[in-house]
Amino acid sequence: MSAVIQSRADRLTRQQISQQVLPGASVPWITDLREAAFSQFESSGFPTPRVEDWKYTNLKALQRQIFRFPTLPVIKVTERDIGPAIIPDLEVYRVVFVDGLLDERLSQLQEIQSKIHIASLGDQLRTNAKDIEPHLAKYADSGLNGFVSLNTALMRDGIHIHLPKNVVVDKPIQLIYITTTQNDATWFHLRNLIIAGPNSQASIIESYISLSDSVYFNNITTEVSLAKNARLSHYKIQQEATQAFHVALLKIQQQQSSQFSSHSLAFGSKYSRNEIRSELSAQGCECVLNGLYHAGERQQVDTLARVDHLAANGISREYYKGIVTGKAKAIFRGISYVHPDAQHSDAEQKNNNLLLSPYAEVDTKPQLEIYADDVKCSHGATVGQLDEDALFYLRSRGIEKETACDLLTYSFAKEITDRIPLAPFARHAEALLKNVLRGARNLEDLR
Amino acid sequence: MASEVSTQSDQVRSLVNKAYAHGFYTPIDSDTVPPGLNEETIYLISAKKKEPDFLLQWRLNAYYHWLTLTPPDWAKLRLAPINYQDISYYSAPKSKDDGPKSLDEVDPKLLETYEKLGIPLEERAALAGVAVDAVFDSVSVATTYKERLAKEGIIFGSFSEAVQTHPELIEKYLGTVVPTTDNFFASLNSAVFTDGSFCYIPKNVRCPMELSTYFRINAANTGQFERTLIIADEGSYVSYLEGCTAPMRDENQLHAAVVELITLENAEIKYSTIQNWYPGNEQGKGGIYNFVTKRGDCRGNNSKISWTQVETGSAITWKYPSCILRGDNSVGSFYSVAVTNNYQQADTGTKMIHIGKNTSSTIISKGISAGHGQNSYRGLVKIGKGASHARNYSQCDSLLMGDKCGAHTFPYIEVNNSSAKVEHEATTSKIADEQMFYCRQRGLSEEDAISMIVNGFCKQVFNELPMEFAVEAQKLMNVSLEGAVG
Repeated sequence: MSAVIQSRADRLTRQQISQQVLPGASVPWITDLREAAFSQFESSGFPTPRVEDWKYTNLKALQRQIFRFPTLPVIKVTERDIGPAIIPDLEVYRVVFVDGLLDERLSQLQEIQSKIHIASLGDQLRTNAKDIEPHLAKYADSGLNGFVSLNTALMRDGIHIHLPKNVVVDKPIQLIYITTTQNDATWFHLRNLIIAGPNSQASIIESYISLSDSVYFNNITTEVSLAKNARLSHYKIQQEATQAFHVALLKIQQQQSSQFSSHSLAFGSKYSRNEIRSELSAQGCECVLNGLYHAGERQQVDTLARVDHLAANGISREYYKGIVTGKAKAIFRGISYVHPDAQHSDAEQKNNNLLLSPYAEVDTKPQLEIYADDVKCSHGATVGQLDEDALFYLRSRGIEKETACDLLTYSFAKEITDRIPLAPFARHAEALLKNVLRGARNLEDLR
Repeated sequence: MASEVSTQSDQVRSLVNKAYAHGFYTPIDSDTVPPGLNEETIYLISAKKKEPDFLLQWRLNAYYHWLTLTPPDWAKLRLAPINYQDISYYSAPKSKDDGPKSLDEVDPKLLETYEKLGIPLEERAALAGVAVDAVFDSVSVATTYKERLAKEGIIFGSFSEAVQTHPELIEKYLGTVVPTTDNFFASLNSAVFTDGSFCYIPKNVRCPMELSTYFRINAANTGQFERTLIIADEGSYVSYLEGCTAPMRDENQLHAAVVELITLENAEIKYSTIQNWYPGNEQGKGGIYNFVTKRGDCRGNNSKISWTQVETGSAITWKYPSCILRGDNSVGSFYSVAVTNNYQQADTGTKMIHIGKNTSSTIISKGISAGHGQNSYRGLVKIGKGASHARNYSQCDSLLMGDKCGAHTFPYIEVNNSSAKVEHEATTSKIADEQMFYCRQRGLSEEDAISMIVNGFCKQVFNELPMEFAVEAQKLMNVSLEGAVG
């Protein structure tokens, strides 16, 4: 059991870290990796708005916060507690993490272990580190930003999935991350590593929920590698508590003709950052990034979606929509980067925002950088309100104002949920959206 | 299709080989100050120009602030560091004593230079009805149509002249749009600017002609620091044209101009630029470094500012003509065509800052990259908290010709008001095979077809140019892209 240590991130010392029992402490390459990453963190710290990828982002609250290293969960989490993460009508292989550690009792690892290799990353680091040596921290560079370096230095647990060649996983694998901490602000550095072999196929769902109403910080780094012809669908629902910080990086490396899709919904957290970076490193890759964010009150929701076309014939799509109310702030940054030899690349980017309150703010930067000539690239971004005429149409038919607004907002967002191929997940997303809209409106009324 | 690609690249090569038509050097005895920048230099410039004390102080403040700054590195530009001590900060043609009153008094060599450029000053002025304030290096040498403008109460002439005749206007408006502390190049300019144009349109006057200035860098090693200030008083209108060419020189020359526009209530300024400075040779050697700060302030209600630019020259272009839409119902627009060929680099765009109510802005940007050219659009649309019902439409399209060039788009959109409507769209592509096929099938040569398609691509911007300029711009385009992709 680790000593209870509290620190502001920028005052964190090596000594404090050395008192932590982190998995893989006896393996030289892991300790070297952690050391190097911590040195990087020491020199860079958390990103500031001067860093272009973090412009508009205000991390002061996160930086001021004193965080405690996690201890063992105090509350025994039951089936009932994970209820909010359960997706109706969808059969899944369930894996549950409670306060950053795998909970075997609630998870169904055995059911699926016969087909694929799946283990907690902590176990993997302790018992069989050499298997992941060629992959860990090879896709997500620790130097990318302070959060990734801190994650690499302090990672404790997460999921490791290795899909063997030609394996098709019959049901989605759902990873439920539930936080229970009370009182003390705690941080969790979760690390996931997903390796998909040639021709393999799987769907992975990440759900973030919380029983806590205190401050906590989930710092997640997920590395994905797709071999030739592999197909991975990634779904994410972020419903963290209102005081939570959530910073997630999803880094994907795609090999020839592989297909990746991401469908993410961000509803919770005081501050959330969802960063997806995909590298199409061989010919004929496809990458679809689809997302919806909703922010109300004083929430800050921050999205970065970047696709690097490194080889020819790649296709990428970025579709993001946002609904911003209250005093919230939404930030979107899309980047399509076509490298010199990536001829015949086809990149499309779209970001639409509904700004529903006079105190809210939207900052968007859809960016194209193109170094090849035979390409088809476009982007579009809008910030606007509900259509007056549509509103009038509905109201003239006797629909009250709130309902009419909700209806239009809902149909605005539906374009994103309509793109989700997994029908039960799409329905679940729509139901959540309805709840969020209703919640936001009631708050407005109270004011 | 493969053969088409190869012909295109042949053509790119042939364009690259086209020599710069406007490259020649007129040996004129320049009154040049030795290179270097320190307080002394500023005292010297100020003394040479017999400036009032406030301006000297203003320059010194700018200089002290400049010393604390470092050159900006955020733009997508690659350039060797500039040694600011290697530049001579003052250069004027010898014949400046007693300033010429008419064209006859102008140094004939100078007139010859303009002749070569196809701008016979007197003819052009007479034929086109354009008043030309020709800036040769740093001092204005000839101004035409002055009397006619004076009759309307319009003040139009060189900046140094205006400092002598209307110091109160200069003191009131100079630096109010681009403060001395604005950015590295603006501070430098404020400290050492030698001349430029000044224009004041009185209340309710519609300027009877297009005003234009031809800038030209001549003496080697002389940075050109232009300062332009245009004030349109209530209810007035002016259309101002600026065109540039430069002779072929082998060293990089720095050009750091500042342009300030101010419109008061109901006034309108249309500012058009054709920039064709020497872009460097096909190896990317030489060429002008163009770091320009241009900004317009729609100070009064219902005022309008419109920027139109055709950028075909310079090795490096760093330029963001912007509008501050302060007055209610004010309108800002930005129309731009930027061409980069060989090793040219352009990082250009605009800022539209919406502050007043019901303000609207339009951005149309067309970038064309060929050879090893790098072309970036960088723009900001900011809707302030109080800017209710603000409206923006932005469109930036890029055309790529050749596989070594790049086109980039960096649009920043910041919205703080829920009644705002902001739209942005951008596309990047090459000339479609279908378009080429259509034209070729109707008997157009490949070159004509490409020129037609490119001109069509730019039409939205050319339409905004005053007539004479639109013709010139199309010609320039054809020259720039002759064989280019073209």
